[in-house]
Amino acid sequence: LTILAFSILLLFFSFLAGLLGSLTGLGGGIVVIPVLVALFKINLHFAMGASLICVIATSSGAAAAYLREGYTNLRIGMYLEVAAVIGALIGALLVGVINKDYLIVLFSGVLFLSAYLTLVRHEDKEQYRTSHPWASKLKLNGTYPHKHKTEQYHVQNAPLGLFLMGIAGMLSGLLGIGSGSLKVLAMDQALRLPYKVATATSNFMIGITAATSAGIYFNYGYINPVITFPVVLGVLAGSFLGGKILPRIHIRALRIVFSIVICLMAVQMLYQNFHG
Amino acid sequence: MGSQMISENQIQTWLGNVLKVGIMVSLMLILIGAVFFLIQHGGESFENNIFITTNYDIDILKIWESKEFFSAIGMIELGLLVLVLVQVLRVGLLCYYYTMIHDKWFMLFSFFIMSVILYSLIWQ
Repeated sequence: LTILAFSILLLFFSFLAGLLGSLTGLGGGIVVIPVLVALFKINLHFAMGASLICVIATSSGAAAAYLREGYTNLRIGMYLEVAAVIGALIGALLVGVINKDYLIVLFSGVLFLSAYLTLVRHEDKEQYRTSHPWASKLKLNGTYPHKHKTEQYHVQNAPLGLFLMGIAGMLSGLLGIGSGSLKVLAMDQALRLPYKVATATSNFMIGITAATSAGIYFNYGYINPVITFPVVLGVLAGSFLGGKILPRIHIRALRIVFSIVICLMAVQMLYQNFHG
Repeated sequence: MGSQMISENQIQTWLGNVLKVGIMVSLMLILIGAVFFLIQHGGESFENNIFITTNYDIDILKIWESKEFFSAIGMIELGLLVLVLVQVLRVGLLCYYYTMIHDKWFMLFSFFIMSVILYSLIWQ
């Protein structure tokens, strides 16, 4: 196998990973890691580095699109990002000292949890009329376009949101993923934001959190340009296509099948690590 | 939001543009570097290839001095770095915005976030 052939294969499979990551809602980063490790036998740290770069690229692209639609709440994003960047910095620094076996186990756990979260998500919830005192003080409440009119939402449990975002940031740094599902979970369950606002704001934040980890990864030498370029180009193209066809795909079964496929790859990665 | 100041809508437009232009520039650099790299080394065997097994510890502060800088790999590295710097830039833009509208808390938040990213970039 030549480098050219290797790059083309990597590009193709990263494209598929980006497409599946976007269609399942898991995100390109978390899907591409098992592909790189299980299929291409790439060093876990290099896979995490390449994934982290993908996360920055795809979330930046998505954030640019969402900003136009008026769902992103910049204030909530910046408020939560304070905890997320601290988490990301600690997580990324820890990667250098934690045994890879633990990282693989943690990764699989987070992947299974994320797959579960994207499958059980429910979009309608009760409306709140009051908000948490921090939310009022920091003017976190906002409006969003809903059924052709502007609707208001009130932010709940702001401190819990901050805490969960710190954890999400730490996992992002530890594993080289965007931890979008966890960010959305925190905004959905703690802050009680409308689902679209949570996803858009999460996308806005992911790139900033990942950039913090990337700084440390660059220094550790985990970002290998030769592995990263086919991966980032492939995942970006796949996610872009996924975003285009997503509105036309309503089959829940498809999402479940894709999520199972991705979880099986994580199982393969676990097996390979401990028995291969 | 006074009329003489920048509105939140305007800042959202700016942020969107920074992201779009940033990704374009970064992808261009990565793509050009990739093409040159593949022309030069595409025919080599992938097994145990030095380019794939090397630990490239990229020191942002000295990236201009590295011997790889004027190479295809250097071009890809620069593209990756631009992607990260775009994130610093958009937090910086928000920091500027919150300073303009005299929002102390958010000025502090965005300044703190920007400092953490910059710290991680220069961390040794």
